[in-house]
Amino acid sequence: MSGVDTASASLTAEKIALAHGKGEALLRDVSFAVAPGELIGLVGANGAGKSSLMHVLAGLRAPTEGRVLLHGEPLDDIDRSDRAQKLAYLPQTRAVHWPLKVRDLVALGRLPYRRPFMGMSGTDREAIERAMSMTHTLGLAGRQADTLSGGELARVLLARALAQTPTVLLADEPIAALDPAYQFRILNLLRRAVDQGIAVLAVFHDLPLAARYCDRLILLHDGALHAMGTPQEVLTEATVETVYGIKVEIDDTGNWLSVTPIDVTDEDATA
Amino acid sequence: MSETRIIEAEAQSGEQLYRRSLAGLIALTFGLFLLSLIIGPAHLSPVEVFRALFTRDDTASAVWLIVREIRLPRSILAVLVGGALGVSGAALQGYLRNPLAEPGIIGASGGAALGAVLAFYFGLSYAIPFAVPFAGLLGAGAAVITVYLLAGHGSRPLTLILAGVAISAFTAALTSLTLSLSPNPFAMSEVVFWLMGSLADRSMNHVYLAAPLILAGCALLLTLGRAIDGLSLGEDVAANLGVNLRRTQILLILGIAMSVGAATAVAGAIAFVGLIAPHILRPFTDGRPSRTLSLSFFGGASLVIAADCLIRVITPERELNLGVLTALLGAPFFLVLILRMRGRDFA
Repeated sequence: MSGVDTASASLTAEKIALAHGKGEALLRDVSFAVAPGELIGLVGANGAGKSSLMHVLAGLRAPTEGRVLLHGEPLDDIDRSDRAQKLAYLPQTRAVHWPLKVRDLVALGRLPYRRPFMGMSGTDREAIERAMSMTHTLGLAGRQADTLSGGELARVLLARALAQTPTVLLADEPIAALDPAYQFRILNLLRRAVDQGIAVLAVFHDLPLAARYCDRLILLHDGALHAMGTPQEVLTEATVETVYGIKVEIDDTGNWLSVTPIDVTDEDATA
Repeated sequence: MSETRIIEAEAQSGEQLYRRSLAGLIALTFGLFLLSLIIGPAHLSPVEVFRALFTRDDTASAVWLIVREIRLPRSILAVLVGGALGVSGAALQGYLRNPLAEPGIIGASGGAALGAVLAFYFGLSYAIPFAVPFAGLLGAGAAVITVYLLAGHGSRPLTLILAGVAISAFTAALTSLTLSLSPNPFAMSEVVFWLMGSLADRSMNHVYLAAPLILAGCALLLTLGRAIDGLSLGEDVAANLGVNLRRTQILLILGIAMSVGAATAVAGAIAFVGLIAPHILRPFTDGRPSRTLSLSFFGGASLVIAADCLIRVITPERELNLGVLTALLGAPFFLVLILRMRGRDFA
């Protein structure tokens, strides 16, 4: 179904189920694999379980059933700092709680590599510089994080994740609340990360941009995997209507798949 | 490559500022410590004081007795108590990512006060030597264990604060109850006096009792630097960076219980130091919360010794309580900080 061989996959989800305390299912039987150098978009309506799935994949929440494999090894069996060296997670919120300097913020990505009370090694410094140069944040190095614009902060936080030199990057809504120029910048950065062999799984709400930038899409509906495949396969007028409850016109005759929203099908739907 | 050099210079200037501040604070603490040995109602010259410090038992000499039995334990306790409050405040503020957190919030100081007050109430303070600090330690331990059990293993920081606030309120209520049931006004005034915090009339035995716990607690808290830095980007990112959140919480609670519990048990309640020391020192950290830990140990120590010296100078006849002075100076200072913080969003 996934088209990716589990043995060579960077990240594999095997029959993931997640339930709330009272048994309400958040995720049901979700299985897929992400190959190295692949950008997968995770799409679905609000409440479909995208963020919960990202938490499970990042090892922040234990699934009720199933397991997550990182390079074929169960996530639970991997030592905390080993895992942190391979898997980077970029949350939806861009919270920075202290007025950290941008350079120190990006350097946090090297925490999994550092021994207690030891300074930074040459490798650490190189990784920080590479991440900052790739995200064009070198010029912000001396700025305080609380003085950055939303777009600048998004790039700096991505630089932190890249400084971990991960093989898998999980990004929860990396382009949410950014202006169109910054949306393109972040997406181009994710593509560059993918070109370097990193497996990227990112949550998107912007279907046209997700279709244009992602190799494959995973469509979640009510905690279950509704469709998976190329953007053309996943985004059809029928699936979008079922999952999002909106009528759309989809045109894939141009350079990119174009998705034009027409109207919501049920004005009063609450669920 | 020039930009690379700029970011290196940036990092180094931050590191340099931190190291210089730390060295400065260590020197300040040491200087105030010496000053604290010299200041007192008995006018001793620095030479006499230092001679007494470096001679072995000379119990026949009044100078030796004053320096070794009165001023030395008081000065050592000032460093330890201030350091415990400072480093605990810094660790808790970093952990909770809230600059308004105060080490008393997890119940250690309220529990210590209740334990000590009960020791007074039941007359143990006369019957058994060091009953008050011992009972204080027991109280701090019991309160913090209750907070931990209430919040639950591996709870979120907010749950921990709420449990701490609940237990602090409860210990405060029990302390008031004990006071109102106190058999006579004399006993009551003794307790109230103790609650206001003081370092007067403490002996080397108080030092021996508190020092191991305070130093061990501070050492635990100083290991949390990495975790606290990771937490600046939130719990999820910290966990993703390999920080063990459960272990961090246990070490934090244990460290604060030991250091603040022991400090309160020997000195009573010393207000505002744990809140203010990290605040004053934050500008020297380049925003990195791990750097506030070691700075706040010496910052807190300096504040408490300075306050304790000030007490002996301004009211030499009947000494003002240390906790009263830190609260008197701390509250307006805190107000100024809030006014300066207005408009700048740290949360």
